[in-house]
Amino acid sequence: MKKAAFALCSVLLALSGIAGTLTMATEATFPPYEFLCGQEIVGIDVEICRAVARKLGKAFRAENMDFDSVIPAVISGKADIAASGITITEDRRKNVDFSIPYVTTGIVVIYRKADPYKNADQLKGKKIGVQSGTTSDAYVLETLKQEPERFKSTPEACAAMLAGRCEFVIADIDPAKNCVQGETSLALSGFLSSESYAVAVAKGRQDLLAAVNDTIAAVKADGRLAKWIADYTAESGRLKEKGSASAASVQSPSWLATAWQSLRDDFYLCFLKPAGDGTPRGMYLVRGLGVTLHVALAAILLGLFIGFIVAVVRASHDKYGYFPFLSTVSKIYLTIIRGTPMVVQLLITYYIILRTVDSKVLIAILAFGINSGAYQAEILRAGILSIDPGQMEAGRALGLSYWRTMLKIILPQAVRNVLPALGNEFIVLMKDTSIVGYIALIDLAKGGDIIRSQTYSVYLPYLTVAAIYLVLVMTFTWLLGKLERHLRNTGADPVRNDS
Amino acid sequence: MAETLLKIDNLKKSFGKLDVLKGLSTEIRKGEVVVMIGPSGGGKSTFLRCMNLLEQPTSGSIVFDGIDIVKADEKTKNRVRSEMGMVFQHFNLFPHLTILDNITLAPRLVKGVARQEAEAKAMELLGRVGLSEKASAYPQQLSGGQKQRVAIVRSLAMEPKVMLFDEPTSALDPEMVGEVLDVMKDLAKNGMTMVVVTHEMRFARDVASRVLFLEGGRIANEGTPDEIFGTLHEGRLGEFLGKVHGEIRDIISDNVVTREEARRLKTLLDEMPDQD
Ligand SMILES: Nc1ncnc2c1ncn2[C@@H]1O[C@H](COP(=O)(O)OP(=O)(O)OP(=O)(O)O)[C@@H](O)[C@H]1O
Ligand SMILES: [Mg+2]
Repeated sequence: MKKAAFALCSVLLALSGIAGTLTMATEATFPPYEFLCGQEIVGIDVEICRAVARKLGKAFRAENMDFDSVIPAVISGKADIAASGITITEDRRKNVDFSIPYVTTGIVVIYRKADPYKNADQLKGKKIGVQSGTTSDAYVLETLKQEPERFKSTPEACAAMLAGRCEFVIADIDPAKNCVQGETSLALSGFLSSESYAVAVAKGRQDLLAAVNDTIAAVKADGRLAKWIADYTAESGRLKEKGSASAASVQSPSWLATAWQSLRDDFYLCFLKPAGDGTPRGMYLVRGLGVTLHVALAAILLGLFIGFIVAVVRASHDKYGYFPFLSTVSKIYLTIIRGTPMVVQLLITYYIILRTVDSKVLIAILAFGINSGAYQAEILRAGILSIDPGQMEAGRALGLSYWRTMLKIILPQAVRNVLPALGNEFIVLMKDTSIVGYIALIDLAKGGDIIRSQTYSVYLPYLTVAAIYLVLVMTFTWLLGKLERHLRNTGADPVRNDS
Repeated sequence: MAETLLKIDNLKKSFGKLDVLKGLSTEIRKGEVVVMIGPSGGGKSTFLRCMNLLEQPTSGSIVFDGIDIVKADEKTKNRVRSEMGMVFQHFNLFPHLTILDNITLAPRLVKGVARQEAEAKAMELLGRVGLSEKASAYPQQLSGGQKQRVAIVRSLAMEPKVMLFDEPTSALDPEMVGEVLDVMKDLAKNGMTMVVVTHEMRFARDVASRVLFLEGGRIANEGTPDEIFGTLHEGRLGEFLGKVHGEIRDIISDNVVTREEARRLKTLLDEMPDQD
């Protein structure tokens, strides 16, 4: 059946050539250049070739085939021209003639004029900003074999570079141009890597080639090409949405098996398949979990340290009028920290206060520790104030200094009284660290986001990240409950103070 | 006469505009048991707390061991406190520590005594008040009387030169008062210098070497127990003793007490001269 159809096609093709039809060979799976809209092949390349046919006064048809067959089709004469997002390469030039390129895309380096970029050797080992999940991201990962600094957008990466947070930014030419426009301190390099798409014709068909070149020049000049690019980019985006929606609804009898299979595929893609540097993608989550735990635990400890000092200073002032100056300083600290969003504090720490500090983990620990310190201080202060004044008197009467009494007698009881509130603060802090992506630090949440950007799979990465957080929090809650029970079993009932 | 341990001269204390102590002078000699009595708000607690500087006196002097501790620096004050024991009405044991740790904490932290030595000493003292088996218990597992005995032991473990008691039996159920007073009597017998604020008139009568009657921030009367309890008094002291006497009688007649309490109160009443 297939063979018969193929034979029929060949005959038709040959006939149509004679009858004044321009036949285009293409593989219609490369939107927006060529893709199927229903049964019809549409796209930028199709429009270009149709324009060529019109110029030649011929009818036009597009023929869909494997990409590997597209160039052989023009060589063999089964098709007149091939346009399928074909990149000009020296190998291909040996077999076919190429038109002038109609599209050139690629990635470039954005650099500061104060620190000029000369060649790609400069990039090795440097901090390079990219938009997460783009070709540039892949280039740094696969060609330079290093981890880029990932940002939400190219302008954000450029802002980070201007703040001295990375040396270079690599981006696609179009967004790169946008960034440099109006920013006199920035400049663009030539293409780091680029691809030029052109139309291929059989060797020796000079007339046809000339017609193709004229057409391309014309559609470039009069803006038609730009319009096609815009229209078909939008069109292919719309189709993609519709396609995925219908794919979900067209689940036939064995939908369970299909779902299972697709889950397994997704799992492989998201977690097991090697990313650019050769390790499985799941390592983003493993390493991210490490960063999350590292930042959260260190910040909790730092917050406890700050919290204790501030709480003791404030409670001492409340109760005995000690440390008036330190108490005022503490109050200002509490007001500022509790009055501004955590994200803003993180960004200010990163871009302004600690702009010369290299380690983002350290920056995150400091920002979160200082933030949590304020909340822990207020919790602990309430704890200290809940302790009967007789405890302090008993300690002092035995000859202990104020600080010793605080440390050995008041604080242990205060902590026990506020342990649930303190534990809650630890949990909030642990989850709050998920915003470190703002300073391009890859924690658990950002790790999941990177996998999503590389695989376009949303469910598995995000749901897995959520599950890991949940397990972390539940483990922590369980440990805290154990500690509380332990303290309850050994110490006095916290509400009674006449001991 | 024994040597002077504490020499208090014209001691004044005010809280803001409120003058609580209006110039107290007295001497406390080694081995003395001084009992302070007086109406509520008369300044007994404040006076006691000034002696070990839990309250900073407004003016006057307290000479202890040859130095005026009112003007001493913080370090000296800490040392002075470590040489004076204090027992509170509400015990103030540390609820997060075992009895043993309650007792050994200060010797170890303040005096640098080794743990083993501190614990051996604590066990010996606990034995003396009959609470050896409670060493590893926590305060909330003890009765009020037991708590107060532990609190006394906690102070004794610092080997103080003087013990201050602020109404040590007032928060106790009546049937537990005796066990605490017995410990205190024992201490007095062994020559401990003590200053005791109490409403236990019988204890004052039996154990005190001197009784101070504090009223309105001054020492209104001062004398031996016989001088205070054995004679009729004019003025405030007479009124005070009469009221105490009357209250006890009321309690018995109102029949709101247990039989055991009543017996205890009756003996107390018998030993006091009727002031009416
Ligand atoms: N920290 C303080 N601040 C303000 N006023 C105080 C303070 N401590 C005590 N006073 C006041 O000082 C006065 C004497 O109090 P104090 O506790 O010394 O009396 P007391 O003789 O021990 O009475 P009681 O028999 O009721 O214990 C009271 O009027 C009391 O309100
Ligand atoms: Mg009092």
